[in-house]
Amino acid sequence: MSKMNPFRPVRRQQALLSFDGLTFQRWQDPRIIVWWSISFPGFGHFLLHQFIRGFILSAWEVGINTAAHINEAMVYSLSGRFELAASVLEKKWVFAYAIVYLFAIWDSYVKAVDANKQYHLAKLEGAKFASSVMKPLYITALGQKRPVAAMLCSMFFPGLGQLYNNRICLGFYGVFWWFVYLTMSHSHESVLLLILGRISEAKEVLNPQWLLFMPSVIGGAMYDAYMTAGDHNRLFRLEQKQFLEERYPQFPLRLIGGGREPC
Amino acid sequence: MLIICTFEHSIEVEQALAVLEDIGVGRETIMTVMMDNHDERIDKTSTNHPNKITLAFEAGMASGTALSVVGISAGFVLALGPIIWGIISATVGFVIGYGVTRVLQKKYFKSVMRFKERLPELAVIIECQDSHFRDVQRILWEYRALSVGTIKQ
Repeated sequence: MSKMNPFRPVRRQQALLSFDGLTFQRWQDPRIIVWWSISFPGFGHFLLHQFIRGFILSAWEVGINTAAHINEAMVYSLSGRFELAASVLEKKWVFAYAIVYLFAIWDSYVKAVDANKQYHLAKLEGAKFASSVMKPLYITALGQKRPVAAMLCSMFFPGLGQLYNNRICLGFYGVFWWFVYLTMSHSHESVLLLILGRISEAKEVLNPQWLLFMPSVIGGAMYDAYMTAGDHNRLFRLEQKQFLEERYPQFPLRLIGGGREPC
Repeated sequence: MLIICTFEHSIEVEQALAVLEDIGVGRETIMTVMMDNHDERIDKTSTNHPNKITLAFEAGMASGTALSVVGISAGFVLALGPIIWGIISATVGFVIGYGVTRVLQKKYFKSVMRFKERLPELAVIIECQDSHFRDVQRILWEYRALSVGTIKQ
């Protein structure tokens, strides 16, 4: 870490603290990124910290998917009702949906491969980064997080794990959409009916189009919360190492016999 | 007198060192040694798979999500309904993804399966006067040192 020349500006940053928590480089398997883009376009970009692309792609997914009835058609196909699936699709929108969907997958793969190389170089460059930021309206500090706690928060309500990780924008974006999903799909109503033992009513009250957004969102939010909390811990250690190496440099030491020798 | 102690990386280490400086232990008499553990050693030499430890979790989450989509869809025509089938299929999917990856990684995990323990990640060496010795030791324990040893010179 101390190999860095102090007179040269940082070429590749490792991490940045801001009002929106910690933005950083990390190594991720491009196949995993591709999978999250398949499950929900935009999620792969969130994991790459390409938040603007992620917000727009995921909002596009919700809008166009609902307009074209993709989720409904998926429910019918996967439960063996193929004629219904074909008839429910909106022909105006299906090609547009498919093109952007495939683009989001390809784009996230290419960006993941590139981000890994950037991470490698940033890590070897070993640039220093701030351990806390204080501004009038917020304090953000590098600290240790509990990955399992973050994951459980997002399991009960996607977005909360992201808020725990100081990701304000993604967190509230997630909370907002989860409200939309649970309102439109009637999922909490259905859970209540299940608890009361009224199983057939619990099934009828559900809206398949909106319900099918939910597993991908829960899965993606839990995954992101867990991995991000782990990365917080990794970066906390890295920053602490840099700090300690600088503040307490090593000196020649004689274990037995007392006194230091001039070197 | 020489005190050698180990810590995990934590905010407490920095507290301990700051308090030591505050009671008059000179900064130039403190030395820190970073102890790499096995995974970090691997991490430095290869960039292809630095996060092998979380790979099973990642595969589990991916297959759990995939299977729950199928489970929810099928639940619309099955007796128990989409929510129960969604939860069942998500759990089964996670177990399959996690389990299969773990089996495939068996050889790897045999050598590094130690990440649950509290590892001494950081050694701190302090040269202190005999008069400070008791205080230094107390402060180290107070801020969660894992172990503390002394060399009397």
